[in-house]
Amino acid sequence: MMKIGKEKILFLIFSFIIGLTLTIQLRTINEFTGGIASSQKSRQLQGDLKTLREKKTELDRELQALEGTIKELKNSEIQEDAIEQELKKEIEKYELLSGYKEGRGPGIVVRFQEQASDRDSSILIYNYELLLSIINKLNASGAEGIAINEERYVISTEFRLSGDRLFINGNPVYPPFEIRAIGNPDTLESGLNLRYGIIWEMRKNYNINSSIEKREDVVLPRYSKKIEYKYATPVESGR
Amino acid sequence: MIKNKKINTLVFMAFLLGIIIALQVKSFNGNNGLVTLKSIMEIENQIELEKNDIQNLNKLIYQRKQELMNYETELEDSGSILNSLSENRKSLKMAAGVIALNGKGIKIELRDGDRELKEGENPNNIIVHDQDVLHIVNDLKIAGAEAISINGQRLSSISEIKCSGPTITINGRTYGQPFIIEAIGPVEDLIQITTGIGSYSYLLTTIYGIDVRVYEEDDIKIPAFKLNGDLQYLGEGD
Repeated sequence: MMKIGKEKILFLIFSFIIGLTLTIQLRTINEFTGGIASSQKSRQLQGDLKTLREKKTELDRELQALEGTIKELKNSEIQEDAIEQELKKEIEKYELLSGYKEGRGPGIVVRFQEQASDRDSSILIYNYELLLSIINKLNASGAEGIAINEERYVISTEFRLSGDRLFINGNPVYPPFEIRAIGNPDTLESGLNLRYGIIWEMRKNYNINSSIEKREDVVLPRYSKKIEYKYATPVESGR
Repeated sequence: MIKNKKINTLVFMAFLLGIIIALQVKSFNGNNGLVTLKSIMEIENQIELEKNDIQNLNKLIYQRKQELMNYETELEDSGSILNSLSENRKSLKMAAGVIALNGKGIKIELRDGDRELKEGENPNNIIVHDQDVLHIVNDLKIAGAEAISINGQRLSSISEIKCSGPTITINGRTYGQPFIIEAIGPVEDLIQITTGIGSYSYLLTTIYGIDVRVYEEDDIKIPAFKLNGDLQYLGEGD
């Protein structure tokens, strides 16, 4: 009797330990990966993503064709006289300034690397005023166009925190963040890299490392919504 | 016999356990059956971005079709597209902020706090900084402000705000206190976001003692942004 009892107890203890180890193992894996899910769903989502991307390329092509037609029409109809040439020039200028046209030129690319664990989103989302500050500094250094990830910074651009997501121009923007600016690369860079400036402050107070790269060719996406005025009316009619 | 049976069961159980553990370990190997939730979330984020893009593209295509139609109708009617083009220029100028606007809105006056400092308090607390102005401007845009000026300088997408103690510099022009922010937009929302409890300017007033005053205005004039010369670096993309 005594002997069997002892064996049973030992067996019980070992099973208990194995059970505990397994649970701990699973838990740790959950900690690291943020949970697991079946790969079937992932495959399905990847399929969706692919379809969406194909559709996007198709639409892109359609848009480009349309814009080509418009451009041709304009070119063929605009006369050589000074007034019409001026009109054309102004249209091109304000298309770029307003952000309705894709922008291209020399400038810098600023990337932010956060030390925080990659699982939790980002310090920058909750402290988006740092991004605002950088944009402000770039403007002070004479930037002519700025974009954050795929969002062009236009006159109405707002940063809005909603839950744990950051919306720019009403579209969600996810880390890692990248700010691209067009202007004189040297001036833009020194505006940010100034001693005890914003980059230094971000490293010291938020543990965010930034890399600044000067480039001959920076591309800015266009603003794809319409800037509308419902409350404001023009004072003088434009020339 | 009984003892034999027990051992058999034990062996069988151990065998089963071994298989289960092996299966379990194998399934952690990423490509085999299970993926992390994080990667799924990343794909979902990407899908959302693509959907957004597609929606925007559709809108753009619609706009361009309209534009093209306008040109074609005018071309048929009058043989030139000059009118449509100047319409086009006007709306572009509006979007770039180079046309003066008026409408209903609010006026905010910002001054450094005039309260006495507490012992050991940083004097920076009662001084207006560019961060404060940037934050208020962003809040105003969230509330739907359509045009914003600071001390009579229109804020465009390339305007800078430099503010250090007694003066503020906007579009290269420097002004003294008070700093006056004017905005055209939905008045109620604008007031709410600048005076509501928990708003940033409420925080500035109550915690830091900065003097923030908000006025409702029936007729606010916001001047045009003046672009000095042409764009030097920004060119057209594809």
